[in-house]
Amino acid sequence: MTGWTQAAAAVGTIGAALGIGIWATAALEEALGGIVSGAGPRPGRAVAAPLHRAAFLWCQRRSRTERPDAELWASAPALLGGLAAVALAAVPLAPTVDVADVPDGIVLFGAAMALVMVAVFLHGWSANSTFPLVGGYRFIAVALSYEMPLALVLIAAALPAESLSVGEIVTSQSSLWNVLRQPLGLPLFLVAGLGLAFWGPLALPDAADLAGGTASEVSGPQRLAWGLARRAVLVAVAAMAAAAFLGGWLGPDLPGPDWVGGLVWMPLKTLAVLVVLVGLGHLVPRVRIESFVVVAWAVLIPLALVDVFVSGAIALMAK
Amino acid sequence: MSGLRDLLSGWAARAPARVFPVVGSGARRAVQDLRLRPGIELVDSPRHADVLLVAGRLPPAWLKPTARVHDQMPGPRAVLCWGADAERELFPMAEALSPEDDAAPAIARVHRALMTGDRESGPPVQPDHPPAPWRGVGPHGQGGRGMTGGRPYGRPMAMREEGRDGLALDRIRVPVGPFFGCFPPGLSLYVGLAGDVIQRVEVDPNPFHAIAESMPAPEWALAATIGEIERARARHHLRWLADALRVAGLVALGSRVLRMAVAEEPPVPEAVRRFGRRLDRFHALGLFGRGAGRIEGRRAETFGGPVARAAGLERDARLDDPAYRALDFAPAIRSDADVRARWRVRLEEAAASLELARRGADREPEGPIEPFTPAWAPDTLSDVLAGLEWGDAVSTIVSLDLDLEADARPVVAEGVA
Repeated sequence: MTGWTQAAAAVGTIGAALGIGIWATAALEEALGGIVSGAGPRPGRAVAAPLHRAAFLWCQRRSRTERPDAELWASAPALLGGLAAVALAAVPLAPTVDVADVPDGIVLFGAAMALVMVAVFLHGWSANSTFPLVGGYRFIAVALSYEMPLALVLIAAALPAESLSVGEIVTSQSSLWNVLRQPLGLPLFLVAGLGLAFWGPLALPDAADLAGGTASEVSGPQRLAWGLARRAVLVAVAAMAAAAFLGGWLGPDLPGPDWVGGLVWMPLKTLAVLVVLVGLGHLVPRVRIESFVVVAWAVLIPLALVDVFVSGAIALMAK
Repeated sequence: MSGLRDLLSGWAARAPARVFPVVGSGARRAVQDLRLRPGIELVDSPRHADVLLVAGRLPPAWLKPTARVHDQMPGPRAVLCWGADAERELFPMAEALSPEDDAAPAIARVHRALMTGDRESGPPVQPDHPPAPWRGVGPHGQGGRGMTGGRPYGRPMAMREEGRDGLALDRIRVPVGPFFGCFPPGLSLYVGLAGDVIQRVEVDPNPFHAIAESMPAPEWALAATIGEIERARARHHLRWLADALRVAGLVALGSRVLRMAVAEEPPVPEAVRRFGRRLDRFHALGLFGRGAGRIEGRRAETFGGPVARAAGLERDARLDDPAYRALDFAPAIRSDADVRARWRVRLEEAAASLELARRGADREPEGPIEPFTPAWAPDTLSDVLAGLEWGDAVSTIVSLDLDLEADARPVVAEGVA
């Protein structure tokens, strides 16, 4: 393929993957919310409701505040969505189907996720209003507390593969999935993922006690863009969890070329992780910032370090 | 192109109506019940809403804030006045409903009409220019002279002040309320925030005093059985829990609890106990309410009721009543005095009330029945909130279960049998 066709195919793949993933996340929110509230899953409604909500936001007008930083305010959702796309690009779908399975895919993912801090803070600061600003500052206060465990458990997952490439990490799980040989990895990664997408218990910048936080002054298509970007980050996190801990495209053999396996198992595993993440969002209350930071630095980071040391020791002994 | 627009507006009409509630006197329960109706979503920010629901009688001090909230709503927008008469002058295009009407179908209808274009978006009710011109000179409106110093021209400005840890941080004084979604209706604060830590709080006086004469008498029966009293108490605590769960980010779980609270058949006590234990397991992790918002000693006594019982004070009017003592009534007491303790006390009381209602359904208490409302103590509230981080402050206020309307209501005659 020529360079331009390749680029177009890459953008198309990421766009399609994010689009389907965002829709699935929104449908899961409705369905799991219905189960938890006692109204039942109502699958037909759950699948159609995201379209209706998106259409409502599209038809609503944009809000204006006094003297916002208009350029940054408009570009914050685009930045967040772009970072989610970059992070998803590092995750390969199948042995021969990947967008950016670079030799240091873990680093690419971590770098994209670290810049989420910038996008969320800009979204809060640009509105020139109190609650969004407090929301933005809250995110900065806690972001490092979950980016550290994220980096550490991904390094631990990379040790058996002796490579930072996500594709190699998947192939290194052909004997045993990382969720079984590194039991601390997936839970810590999910906590970090909830934090990066500021979802559920870690939904601090857009919290209900700030009347919507960074999103409280936003309406219409801009709010739609922010909601899409947030869910895109969640999808990217779920895809990386599926690849690094649940064996990616590995699974029982399917007839046909090897990329069929990727098209079936990767989405299924990503969907399973999304079910867990969205379910946690409906069942676990929002944390207190102070307590969470203490727990993150006193418990989660030491556990992540233990994870790295133990996996390193096991990898050395296996040699 | 117009086909696509029709498709989008058709879909938008099928989305739930986003309603921002302005809750006046007598409307709190009815508005809370709307959360259970499909096709309606109550939102916390006027920017997210397309329908403004003005419910109940509003104090005169709220007319300007209501107008401001209306103008903050992006189009398309509409107003529904539910039992609120004076406000119709403010919103000439509003739909009017009487208090007995069911608001949900009207809200859904208005929302559909707005989305399909059958109804015009409401025009702004306030003039769209700032009371004082902005004097900035730079390309982003920065710089210039004459705009700094305290609170110029109605725009709050952060000023450098000695803050926590001896750092000179910016402190900004902002008003919160009276329609803040996490606060009880009527609560309005001026908060001096340094970052997200509250340095000082000034609590505005109870606005419902201005309309106290027109408020209906409380619904308390002068003679009621223990069964009726305890079931009402349990329902009240469950309604409080539904709201508290929503503020904690668990909207779906809050709906479930609200459904339990309004159901014809009250829930089984064991179900409530199990629910309480599950919630407390989260609190026990220390990430949620444990250690937050301590209210002890004299302050807990001022608030009274479950707040006092969560601080270890054994105060319960039912202890003095022989009929309750015959049913082996024991109050729920905790000593931690934090948000977690107040949650536990209320949930245990709800479960215990349901058990008492079963056992003593037809007995009547022998002492006088007085309605209890947590005391409205603005000075104590300011003391309690000072120094708290914003999230803790909100969860503390929610855990107090304040009711400003009940505080303003005229007192029932003493000495009822």
